[in-house]
Amino acid sequence: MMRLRRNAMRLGLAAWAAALMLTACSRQVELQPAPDERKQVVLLAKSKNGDYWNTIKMGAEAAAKEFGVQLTFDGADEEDDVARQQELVRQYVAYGADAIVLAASDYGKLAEDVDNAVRKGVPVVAVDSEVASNRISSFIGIDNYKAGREAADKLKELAGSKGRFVILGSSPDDRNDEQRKKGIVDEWSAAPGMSVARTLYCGPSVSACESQVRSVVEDRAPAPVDGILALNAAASVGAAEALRQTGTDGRIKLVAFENSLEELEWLQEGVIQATLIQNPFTMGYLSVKTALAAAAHQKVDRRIDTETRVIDSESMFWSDNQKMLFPFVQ
Amino acid sequence: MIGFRFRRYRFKSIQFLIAVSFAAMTTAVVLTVSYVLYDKFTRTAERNTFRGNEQIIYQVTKNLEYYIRSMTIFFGEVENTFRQDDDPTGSRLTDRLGTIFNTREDLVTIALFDQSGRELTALPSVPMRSNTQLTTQSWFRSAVENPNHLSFSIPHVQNLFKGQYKWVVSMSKGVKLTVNGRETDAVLLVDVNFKMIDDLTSSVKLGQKGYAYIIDDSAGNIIYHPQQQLIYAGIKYENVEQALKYTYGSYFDDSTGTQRLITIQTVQNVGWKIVGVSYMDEIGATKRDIGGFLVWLLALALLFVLAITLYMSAKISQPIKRLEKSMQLVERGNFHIAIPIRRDDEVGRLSRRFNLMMGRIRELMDQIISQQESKRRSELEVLQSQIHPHFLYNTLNSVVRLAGTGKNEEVITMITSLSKFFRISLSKGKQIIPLDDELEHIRNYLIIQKIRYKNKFEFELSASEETKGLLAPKLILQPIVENAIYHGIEPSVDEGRIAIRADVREGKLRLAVEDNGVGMSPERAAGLLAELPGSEGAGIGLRNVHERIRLNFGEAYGLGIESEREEGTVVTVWLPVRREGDSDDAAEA
Repeated sequence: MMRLRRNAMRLGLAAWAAALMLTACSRQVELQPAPDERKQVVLLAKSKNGDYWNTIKMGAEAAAKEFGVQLTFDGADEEDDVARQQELVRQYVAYGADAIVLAASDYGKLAEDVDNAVRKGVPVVAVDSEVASNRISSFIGIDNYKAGREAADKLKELAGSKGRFVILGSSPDDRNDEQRKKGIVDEWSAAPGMSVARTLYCGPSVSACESQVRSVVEDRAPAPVDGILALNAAASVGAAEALRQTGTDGRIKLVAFENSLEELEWLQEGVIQATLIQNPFTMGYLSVKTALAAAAHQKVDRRIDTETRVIDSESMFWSDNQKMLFPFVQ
Repeated sequence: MIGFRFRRYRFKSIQFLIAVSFAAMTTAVVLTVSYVLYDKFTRTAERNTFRGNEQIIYQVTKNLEYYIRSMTIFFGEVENTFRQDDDPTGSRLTDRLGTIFNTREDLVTIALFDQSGRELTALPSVPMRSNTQLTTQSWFRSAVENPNHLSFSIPHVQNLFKGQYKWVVSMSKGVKLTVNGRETDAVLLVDVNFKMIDDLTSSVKLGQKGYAYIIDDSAGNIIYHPQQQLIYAGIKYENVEQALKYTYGSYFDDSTGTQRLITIQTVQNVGWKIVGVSYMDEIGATKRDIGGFLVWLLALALLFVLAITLYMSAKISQPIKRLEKSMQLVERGNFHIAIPIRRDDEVGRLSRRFNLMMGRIRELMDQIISQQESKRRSELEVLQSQIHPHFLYNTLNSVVRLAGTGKNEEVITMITSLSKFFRISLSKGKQIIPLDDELEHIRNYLIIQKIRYKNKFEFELSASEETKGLLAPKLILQPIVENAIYHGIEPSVDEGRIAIRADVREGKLRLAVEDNGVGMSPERAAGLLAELPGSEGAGIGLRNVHERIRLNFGEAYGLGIESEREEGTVVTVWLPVRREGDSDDAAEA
């Protein structure tokens, strides 16, 4: 009996020691740093520069932070550098990105690279601009046609439902601009007083847009222009500068797209009467979130329409609009 | 070893009972202890989280209060500077303030406006924008409506000066100044950006994912949130309404789908509240950690207890099993076993008792056997003594007849023989007598019988030299000879002859009784000694002798019968070679 008790005690001590060792081991495992297994998401903007892309990037960064993703932001220097963007897509697929968020600088030309990327197992989410590929996981952006109609409606209201107007886009190849234009034309087709005098394309350069607008404004034949609808930030700023310089601001109504700092300045100054704004922060956030879901083989919506708003100098400092117009930075 | 034991595990064994009850008891105890520990740990973890969060938020509140106080003091200093200067709008003062302004990262604007919103002086020194709607802005209105009260605005975009659109909190106050010698109502504005607030607030870590944000006490506007842009974009949502109900304290909130611990503190003087948010699933992770640890502990303890129990129950039940095996052997009739006693425990004592009991049983059995033997012996002796009266009666009848016919000589021989016969029969009560006496006894018997049967047979007695001085049980030859006469000689028509020989063969004393009577079939001869229950008569005398010998001397001795029809019979008696003076315990029995 005594011997039994002694044995039991010995066994007990051994087991207790084993338990202690086990816990000690598990502690050590916990202390080891976790290897970086974060997903790599690449955001390829049309351009690395510009307030609009910067705000998209901020949104993407917020999502990346929230979901623990490593985000790489890249893009060409100029918005129309399609070749560079194609190259970047191929490059990041080769680097082993887990997902790509792409603001395609060309609707058709990037389709093949997108197809290739998806075929190699890298899901692609389109943001801001669509791509002619049905392998895209999702598109996050505004309905450009509807935006066009909203902007056209605003200009009609400003101009009193009649007049000759200039539509200022960047290029006939730019799908966003073309859809906006289509919306404008459709909106005005119901208003007999509203006519499109000219459609101009001035590329991504502000100065080119400015000079084109100035020549149009100064060329008063057969009749002076009553308003301008600028389809993107560069065109809007160029047009605003041209109007201020020719002293026609206020008389020639200007409805813009987007909310770059210059545009907001011009909006407050009253040179731009209204601007149709998107919510690039939300776009950036949702695109990364969606890309992650796609990379995890979850079902994602094929298309997510983000909000648009028409803001004029009156409403731009309304609390709600402030929040959308001005990115919150410290 | 354990596996081997397992295979022999039976469900109704003590081992099983012990193992199961021990395991169940230990499981119950360990489970209870684990549960209590788990409960205690998680409660402590939760309470620590509560307390930790409250302390952190309290600290942030103090820091923020300190910052706001310093800003208030700064505002007061600026106000005093303007008030005491006789030219508050002059460039000298602007330069002085500009030095301070440039050293502070958190300052966006220092500006002075008159009641109509006209700029009196301003830093930064850049042109004002048109269309600022300044007089409608909330900071301006509250300064005009509540002069001499420093008010803090909710975050808004400052749109006054060219080149920047910055999110700020405006501090404003309606002040009376002497401008150009005239007393003027003016509004003093100091805009502060979120750098310091962000520094103070975003450094807060409430667990892995937790954070703190600031709301305005009156309307619940979010002043600052680490994910302000997400809130502004409508992607994120905070349940501000509930936070507004608290001045300080903690509560659980699951309006966002996940359970969160909300901790609230109010910042003095500005009417702001700091709301700390931490995620309960992180505490859940701690719970899981603890739970996992306890599960391990439980498994280990159970394993340990199971091993101990197996060992112990085997230790206890194995001796019992050994005991059981021994008892099975006893059941099968083996009484000559003793269990080895290994330990002085209960089972050891039980084994000893068992051994004692076995000894007692053996003793009792021996006793019963000897009792039975003596009973038989006495029975046989009774039978033996029954011979005499019958024999005496017959003999005396014959003497009377002889005397009647005047055969005196034969009468004398007969009486003499009878007297010798009885003397030896009595033999002082001894059961074992010298062989010579036995032979003498049978000679007298034969003499009497020969006279009675009118010399129908002859007899002879012979003993070899080595039989001299040997002992033999008394009266063993008489029943044999009697049989030979009655069943062998009497029915025979020929003249009979009986020969009795004594010699030593193969270390045994051999007595042979030969007759030339009618004999019998060898089968009958063989069956004569076999114990046939209820068979009385012819064989009974022989069988008695046979049994008496065997009882006294063992199986090696007894009778042998050889017979042939019409030839005669030889009955052989085998006895041990014993001499006078030998141990005579058999004689005593």
